[in-house]
Amino acid sequence: MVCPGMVLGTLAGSAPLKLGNPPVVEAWVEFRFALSEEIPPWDEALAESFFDRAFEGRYRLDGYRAATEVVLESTGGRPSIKDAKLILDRVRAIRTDTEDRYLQLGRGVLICNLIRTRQPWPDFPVLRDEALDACLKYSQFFKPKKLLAVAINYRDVVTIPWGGEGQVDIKDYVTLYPEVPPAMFGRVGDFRLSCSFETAAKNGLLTLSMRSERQPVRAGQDSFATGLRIRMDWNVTSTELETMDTEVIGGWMMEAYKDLLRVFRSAFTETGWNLFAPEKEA
Amino acid sequence: MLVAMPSQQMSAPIVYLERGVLDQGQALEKTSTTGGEFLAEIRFDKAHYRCPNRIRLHHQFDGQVWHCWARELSSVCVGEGQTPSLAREDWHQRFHAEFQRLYVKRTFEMTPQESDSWEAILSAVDVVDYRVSTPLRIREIGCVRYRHMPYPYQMRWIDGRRELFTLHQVPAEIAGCKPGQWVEAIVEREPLTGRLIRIVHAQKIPSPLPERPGTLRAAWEGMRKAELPETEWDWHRK
Repeated sequence: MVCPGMVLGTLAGSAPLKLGNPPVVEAWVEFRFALSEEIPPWDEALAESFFDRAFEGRYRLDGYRAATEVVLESTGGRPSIKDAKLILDRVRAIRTDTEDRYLQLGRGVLICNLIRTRQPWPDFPVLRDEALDACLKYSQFFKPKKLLAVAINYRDVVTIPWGGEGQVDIKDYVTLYPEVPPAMFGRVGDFRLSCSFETAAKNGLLTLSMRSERQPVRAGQDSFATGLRIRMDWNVTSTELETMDTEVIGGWMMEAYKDLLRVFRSAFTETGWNLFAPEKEA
Repeated sequence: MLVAMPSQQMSAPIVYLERGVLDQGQALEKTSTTGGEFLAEIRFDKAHYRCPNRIRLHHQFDGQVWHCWARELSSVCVGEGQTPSLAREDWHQRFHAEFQRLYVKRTFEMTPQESDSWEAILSAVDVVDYRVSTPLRIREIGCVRYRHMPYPYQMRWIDGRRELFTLHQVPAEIAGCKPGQWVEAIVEREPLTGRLIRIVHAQKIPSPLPERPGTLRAAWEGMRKAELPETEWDWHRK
């Protein structure tokens, strides 16, 4: 969640810190809007015209998600398909030059995704500004009535090395974990945990979903499994901003992000934090 | 809490997304671009591999590159790339190459590792469906015929079969052929019925058959006599 070069200053309680090996793999900002009734029918052509007009070829359509509505009829006691049509849920576009950014567009939904590559991970204000820019373009194109919800999401994957006997005491690394009495249940194979917290960000709710994650094992390469992978999905949502003012939305996002950082740091012990190779700045 | 290393990393995840007030996992999977992606069919160019039980593609970043993999096929291939989409493309290419490599092998020709991979493919992909739905591509030689039509409409293959076609099914080279022109063609046929789907490619060739009856005999008789050295076969006692 934390990017290289980003200063955590007061969060660590001492000298400012940078992370050499940040666990973030993806971050995204999601907007949901209440639409007016005048908007044209939602289809791929509408999505394409939005991307063309708003981003002038910087994004190209990359995929879509849809459901199929099938109308069945009974002919001679046997069902047959009378009609089938595709109901478009969401269209995804990828940024053509860097291929590390996606925009997802649905009916009343706009999501800006940023994925990790070998390039340096940009600081949060970069994602925030790009998301707000996309939000502004969305509102100019679709003219929604109001903002229903805004959410910031970060996905971290932390790899904890296995101990001597092929097991790990998760308590040594994270401060949040499910408590499973070993005398009754033995050792845990996989786990999943979700919790919500109060957040300092106005009208926000912070949620952490944490789960062990399997990884691919190639034939004949057992060593690929280097440790226990824990996926942490952080989410801060507000459903009460109800404004289209990008300054207000951007201010809330920054506030939410700072609170996210605070909770993120609190989720790890010193040993866990050291997995991210924090560097003390001079 | 002690977490034990699973003995079989490839086994199914024990915990699935549960529904709950606090759990936003389901929603997150829908909004993330790197979350699971279900495939009912693996498509690579013209090859379609149908997956009766949909498979789920996962994307993972290991600090250097993205990996793309499906639990059912993780022993077959794992894709790699700088971005999830490149890793997915790499996974498709690897799967296609591995499938085609193993598809033409007999079971006894496979190493134990290949045998495991093929079993994984058989459990995830409907191979029979692939076999009956993938067109056959055959090289054939035939003669273009017009008869009473102003354009080619029939092919007389070298083995005597006659087959009607429309110009939609053939390349432009055939549309421009004169009556009686011989062509060497790559033909796509339905695997079960052998019916012509289309002619993919055609190249004009000189007639492979003699023009008139008797020409072949004349050619045979007119052939120069070979003058071989005479030898004697004698038996010798040991």
